[in-house]
Amino acid sequence: MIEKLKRRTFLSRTLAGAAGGILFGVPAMNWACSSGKKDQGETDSEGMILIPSGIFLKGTPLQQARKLSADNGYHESWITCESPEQEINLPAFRIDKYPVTNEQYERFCAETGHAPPSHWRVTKPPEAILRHPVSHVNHFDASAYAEWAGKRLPVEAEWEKAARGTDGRLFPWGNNFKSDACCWNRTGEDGVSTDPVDAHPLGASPYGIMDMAGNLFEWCSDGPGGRSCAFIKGGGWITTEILDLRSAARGNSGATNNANAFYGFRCVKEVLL
Amino acid sequence: MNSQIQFTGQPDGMNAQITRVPGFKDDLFNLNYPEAIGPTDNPRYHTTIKCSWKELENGDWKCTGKVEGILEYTIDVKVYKDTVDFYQKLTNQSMEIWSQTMAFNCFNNGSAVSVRDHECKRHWVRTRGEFRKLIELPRVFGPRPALQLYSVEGAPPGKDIPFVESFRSTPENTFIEGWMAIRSRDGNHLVATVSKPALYTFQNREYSCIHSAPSFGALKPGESGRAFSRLYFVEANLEDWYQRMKEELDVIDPTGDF
Repeated sequence: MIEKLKRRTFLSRTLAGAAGGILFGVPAMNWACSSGKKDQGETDSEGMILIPSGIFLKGTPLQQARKLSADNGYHESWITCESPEQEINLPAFRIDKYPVTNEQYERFCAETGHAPPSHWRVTKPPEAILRHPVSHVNHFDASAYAEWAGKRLPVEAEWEKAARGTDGRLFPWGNNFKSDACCWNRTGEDGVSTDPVDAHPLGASPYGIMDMAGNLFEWCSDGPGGRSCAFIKGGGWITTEILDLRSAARGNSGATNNANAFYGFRCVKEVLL
Repeated sequence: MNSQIQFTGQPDGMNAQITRVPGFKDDLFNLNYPEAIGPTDNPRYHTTIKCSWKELENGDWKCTGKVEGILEYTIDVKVYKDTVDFYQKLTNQSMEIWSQTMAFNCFNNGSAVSVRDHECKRHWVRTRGEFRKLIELPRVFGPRPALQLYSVEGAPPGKDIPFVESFRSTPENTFIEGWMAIRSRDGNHLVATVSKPALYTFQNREYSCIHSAPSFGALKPGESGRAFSRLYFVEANLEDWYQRMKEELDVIDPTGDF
């Protein structure tokens, strides 16, 4: 127990220091996935990647949350909602390498008669956005798709582990923010929208999962209270605040019946032993 | 009336839209007036209210709403050059004494591209005599993290307003003035919502909406209360707008018979 606490304290301190590099101009460490593997997971026939069982660091150390808040003009309570950092042990699961695309969602609608998203042309998505993540879907739409696909929506912890690996890094690719690694509203101007799901290879997570930062916020199956609200994770094309693109960010949430222009999803599946 | 602003109310619901606002090119502002109304310990939601908007011959708009045997309300709307005014009247038609009343009026900026601010970085409030960005104020991680309610200076604290307390999203010991404003992306314009008297304020990152909730006071069975709300769509800096707003609201009597 003492060893575990020592290790955790060490990790918290170290990560707080490492995180400082990203937004404050201090040279940052590049964290490898704690498994030591640099290679990314293989995609299976369902377009999913295995996330191995084991402990990962979820959330944000209090000290780091306070520093991020102070250095970016926020009251600390906007970020300390992610604290404390916790060691979470998850069983193995598989997760979609990419968020569900318009093309995939079209097949679901065609087979099931499910209502298409409001921004499509009647029952088909515009050709130009076939490989973009499907948006304008609420929690119930996303859940219905997942069930049809024989999958389910991830809980926040699964989503976060798939996004940042085991070492508590800030972004899927590490602790340094890379503007080109995701689709976000870098200029704060109008006219930004989604990108194709494979447009940002620099944004791969330690497991090779793509688009876990930006493009669309992604529905999780759980939320902080009740069935009317669920976590949405990862930031989206509308995001102008780098802090909101962090994998641990949880200051946003979605009303489950809200099919927003910046909400999408991906699915997970159990690993059968 | 001298206004280009287009106000359009929905004939069979609470929704209204504001478009063609000078300085806010192509922006669409959605209103849900009110999403809930009545006593703060048991307000009636729009889903249970029969309400409708109607355009009057003089170009003004009027909304009437009713829950049989419980409440009745009217909202008279006047549109000006860069403001939209809401004169609201609530009548207690129940047999109960309402010690505290309110309207939950939503000013939704999610379709106003030049204004919307889902991250609250351009949201402004005023507390203890100072302008503050909303992100500088405490936030409570409640059951719906995207939204937050704030107690208003001079009004009861949020914990003493059952409707507010039910959200479990109001920071203690933080009181702001009864308005919220969002600066436009270009920094030259702002929109704001203000009420007199204001009971609490609200914002929701999900919709980029802001609320200034008017209070109708305590109402005995059969009694009516009145409140005033105004939306601003101005080309001005925060300080100049604030000065103007204070001067204008000082001379408005929300309890008057409008």
